Amino acid sequence: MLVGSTYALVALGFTLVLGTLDLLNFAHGETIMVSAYAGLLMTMIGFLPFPAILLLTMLVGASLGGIVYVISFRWVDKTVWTAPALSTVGVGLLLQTAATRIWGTDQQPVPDPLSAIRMQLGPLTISASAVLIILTTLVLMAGLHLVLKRTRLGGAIRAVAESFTTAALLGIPVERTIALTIVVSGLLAGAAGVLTSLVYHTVTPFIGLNLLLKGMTGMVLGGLGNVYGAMIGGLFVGILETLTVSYGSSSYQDIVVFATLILVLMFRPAGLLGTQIRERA
Amino acid sequence: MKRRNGLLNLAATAAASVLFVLAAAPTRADMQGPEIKIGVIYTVEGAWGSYGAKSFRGVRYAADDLNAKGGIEGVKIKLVEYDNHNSPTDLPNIVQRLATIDKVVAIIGPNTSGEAEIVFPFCNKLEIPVLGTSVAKGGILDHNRPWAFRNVMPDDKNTAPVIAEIVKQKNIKKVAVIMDVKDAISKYMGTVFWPGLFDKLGVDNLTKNDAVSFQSGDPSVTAQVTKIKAMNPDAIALAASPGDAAKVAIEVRRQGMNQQLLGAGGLFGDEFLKTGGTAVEGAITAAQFWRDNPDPKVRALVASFEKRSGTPIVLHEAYAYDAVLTIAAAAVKGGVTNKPDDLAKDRERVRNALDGIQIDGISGHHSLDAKTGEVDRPTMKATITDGKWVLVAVHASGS
Repeated sequence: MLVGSTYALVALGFTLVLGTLDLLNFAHGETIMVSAYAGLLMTMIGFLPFPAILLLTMLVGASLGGIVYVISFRWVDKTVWTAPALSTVGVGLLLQTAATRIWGTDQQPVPDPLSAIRMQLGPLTISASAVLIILTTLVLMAGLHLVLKRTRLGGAIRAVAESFTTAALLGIPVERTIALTIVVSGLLAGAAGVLTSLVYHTVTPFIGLNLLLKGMTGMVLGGLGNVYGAMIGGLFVGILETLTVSYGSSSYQDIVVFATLILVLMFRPAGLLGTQIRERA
Repeated sequence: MKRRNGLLNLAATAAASVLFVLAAAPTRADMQGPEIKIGVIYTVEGAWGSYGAKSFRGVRYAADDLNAKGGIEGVKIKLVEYDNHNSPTDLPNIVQRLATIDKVVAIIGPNTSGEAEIVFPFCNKLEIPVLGTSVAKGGILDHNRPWAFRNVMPDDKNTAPVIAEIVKQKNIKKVAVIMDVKDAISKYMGTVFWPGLFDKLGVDNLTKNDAVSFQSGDPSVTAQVTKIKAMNPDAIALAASPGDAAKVAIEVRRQGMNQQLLGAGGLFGDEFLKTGGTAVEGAITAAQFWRDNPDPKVRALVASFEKRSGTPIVLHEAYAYDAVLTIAAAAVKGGVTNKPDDLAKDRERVRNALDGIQIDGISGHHSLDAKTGEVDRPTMKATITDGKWVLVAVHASGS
């Protein structure tokens, strides 16, 4: 559940961009990684409470999202469909290299703000920070749901996801909506950065790719471009991994996850909740 | 008269013989300049990347120090460095390049035992001496002689006597092993070394031949540690890189477990300490590098090194430093000429000179066994006490 909730956040941010733009943002994993470092630096300052660290890191993620939008989507010709995706690969590599140069390759320990508080549930020891991570993820997912369903921005995102042309004809500022979508995706990446670093206990410049792959797997399992599918898919991947480790061996966790993915796609090619990517008008 | 003539003849013959022998003996050719090349292969990426970064620093400082004194017999050392970016598939090309294009006289490296399993056979095939400085898997030189050597003690030789002492001291009856299955050395430690050692010591290995495992890069080891908690061992043996071992330690303490943490020599270093923080307090590993060696020569070298680096010297940089000294000493001992046409012969000279060589370096006195290529050093037990490594016992060389 703990691991799955972080995968769900990763998948959510990734699928928002995919669902809206029909394009892939491979810099999403590295945005999470840089946000994790930002969160760590803020934690080391000492006097900031966890909610403040979370909010500030989300802003860092949002800023990075904005930068990725400008470099890889605004300035790149989207009619050549591979160009933005490849550009985001480049941005991701740049971020990873920069992080390696600045912070080195050593694993940096992440202090746990609630390390002393633990609960015993039978044989299981549950830390307060684990509960915090799961609750924060659920709140963010609920927040995203409200934004998409109840706000003008959410309406605009859903309209642009259906059709750029129709949305433009309805007076929706398409390019601005795309930019805001990527910024929202960055907000989620920022949150994912802080929460995954608490789950991992450490942060290195190399966590981004692994997270991206897991997030993509959750996204595909749940349904391409389907925000609710990404939430469920990410949770499912995390639970599946943990069960494999608990009752089998970690050597099999990737086999089990990807075999499940193949089986699901064989019988439900659109994913568990179906895809929401439409043909662009 | 006849007798005096006979004596004179004998003396003249003896003198002529001596002169003949002296004239016939080959004179040692001076090493030719302007530089003698030594290849270096490490990586700063991946689970053991921090060791690679330290190792690069070690070789560079050693080359600088030797060159400041004129190099090897007046010829400057040039390090030809390659970072294989944690990619084993790059290694054959790198070794080939060092041997045939860069034309180095010897190679130092690589980072890990997994990489050495590629590099060492290649060096053996290309007949170029290679000296491993952080390659700790047992038996790795067996099939790679006569060209492969290492100045780091393998884990079985270094760690076994230390753990045997701890098991006795702390009355450890039951142990669980947790390993990283993605990393070659960790997998070896988890599947071969730890089970074999505990079997020999009569300790009940609760994970038997199926160590609890994770993969480097896994986000969480909660499930694995929960599994171990249920077994209730007296101690937990860690078979992982320092960063990942520290993560396991953090999770162990997070779950309120107080078991003794045991590690092999590979964990002795600043990454395990820094990353683990308070979670690794009390952890015990084997150690082989004694930074606080009171030998005045060692103290002087360490002081000079740390003045430049600004941080306490650790094993990987010390052994990398000494590797350059070792190759330099072998070049002198072996009579390397550094002539372009003599490259193959020079490599052979270095190889022959490495057999049985004795070095007084920054890591203290040590030697390379003439038959096996293995290093002979003292072993030590290291415990983390009050946030620092404390070496608490010394086992003499060869014991």
